[in-house]
Amino acid sequence: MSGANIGLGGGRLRWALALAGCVLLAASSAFGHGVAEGDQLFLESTAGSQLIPFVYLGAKHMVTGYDHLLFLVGVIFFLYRMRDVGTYVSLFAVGHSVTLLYGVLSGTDVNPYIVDAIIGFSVVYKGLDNLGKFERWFGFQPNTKAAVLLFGLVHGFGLATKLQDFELSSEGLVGNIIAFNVGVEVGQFLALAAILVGMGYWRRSESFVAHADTANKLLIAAGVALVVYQCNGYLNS
Amino acid sequence: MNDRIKIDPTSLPTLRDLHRATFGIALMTTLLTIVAVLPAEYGVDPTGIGARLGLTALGELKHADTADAGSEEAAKPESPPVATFRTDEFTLTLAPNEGTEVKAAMAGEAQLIYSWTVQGGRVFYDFHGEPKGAPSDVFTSFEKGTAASAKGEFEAPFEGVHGWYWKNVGKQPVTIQLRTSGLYTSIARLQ
Repeated sequence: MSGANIGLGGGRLRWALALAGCVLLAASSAFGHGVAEGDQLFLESTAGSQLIPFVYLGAKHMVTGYDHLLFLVGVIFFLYRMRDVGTYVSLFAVGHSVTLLYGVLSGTDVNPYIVDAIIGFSVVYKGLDNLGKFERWFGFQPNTKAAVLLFGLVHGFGLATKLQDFELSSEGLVGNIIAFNVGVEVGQFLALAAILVGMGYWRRSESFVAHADTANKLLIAAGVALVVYQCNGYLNS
Repeated sequence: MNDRIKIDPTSLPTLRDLHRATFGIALMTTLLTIVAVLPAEYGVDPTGIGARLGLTALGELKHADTADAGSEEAAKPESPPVATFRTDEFTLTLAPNEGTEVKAAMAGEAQLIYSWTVQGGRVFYDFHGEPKGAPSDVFTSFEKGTAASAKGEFEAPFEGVHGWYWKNVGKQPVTIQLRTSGLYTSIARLQ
């Protein structure tokens, strides 16, 4: 279902897709990525302003949110100037903050499986983008900044649906949601710092150029696995 | 196949930069683990900062159900042999963070109708049963969560004591009103 089946650039992409299938089978139970049961009790039983705990939960959600992290890896894969990293990550942060706040506060009802499937697709998209496929297939390069902003908006709805699963007390809700959002940014900063340093070491070695394409194919494979898993969840829900 | 990828080596961070960043991240991760993650995940708070930030309460809540439900088994009522149809009512007041249990001794397949409502907030509850003669840490949870009320019919899946553990997770005292009817031999509040 991904564009990866169209005019493949070699068998390795196919191999990566097969791997995605295996990962999917082996780990499907671990793909739930919601808020842990104990945290749920806290969210539902708390009333009034609880800023620091909500910051903590937002940061935890981001640091343990592999779908968001995979997308970030894709976004910064070829960015090594801190200014570029800052620009793209800010676009992503603006995007997901807008829809997180809007989604929860307005009570907008979006299907979490569909949102999570699109989040999986954003990982596939960024992987294909990093492989230069769009230029080869369509003859032009879609605006990368616009794409990051757009997918940021989708990721925010994904964050919102996780909070909307709970009966949050309306007392202190606005402050708590903003605190959760601040936590998401803190978590993103922490995760990004680790990813950037890891990528920094890798970029200095020759294996980066040699394996960059393979890494992006793996990214696509993981994205496809997420899409398939979430579509399956939607069909069975 | 990688003509697309061009890296300008002069603009890459130096190894020295990377080592320093690694050290910084390791330091920050350790600090955050001690002051935030341990309190919020396990209720373990070596510095006391977690409690001040309100994170220790989050961690204690996660472990409240198993820790408290298991510690109160000593006063478990014995199940006498004959059950008659009866109706009982309890009014329980809980201070913030206080927990309590009410349990009925029931034969296997005996039935009970219940209803409880909370005044003043919501409570964490764990509706569970312990098989007769089982060690004190063996119990089966039928339902748990947080709520302001619950009602239903219940058929005991095994002989033993069945009932509710409640904990006031709010900041104000709450009062729980419980009504039960059914074929059970005794019912009691366990402190």
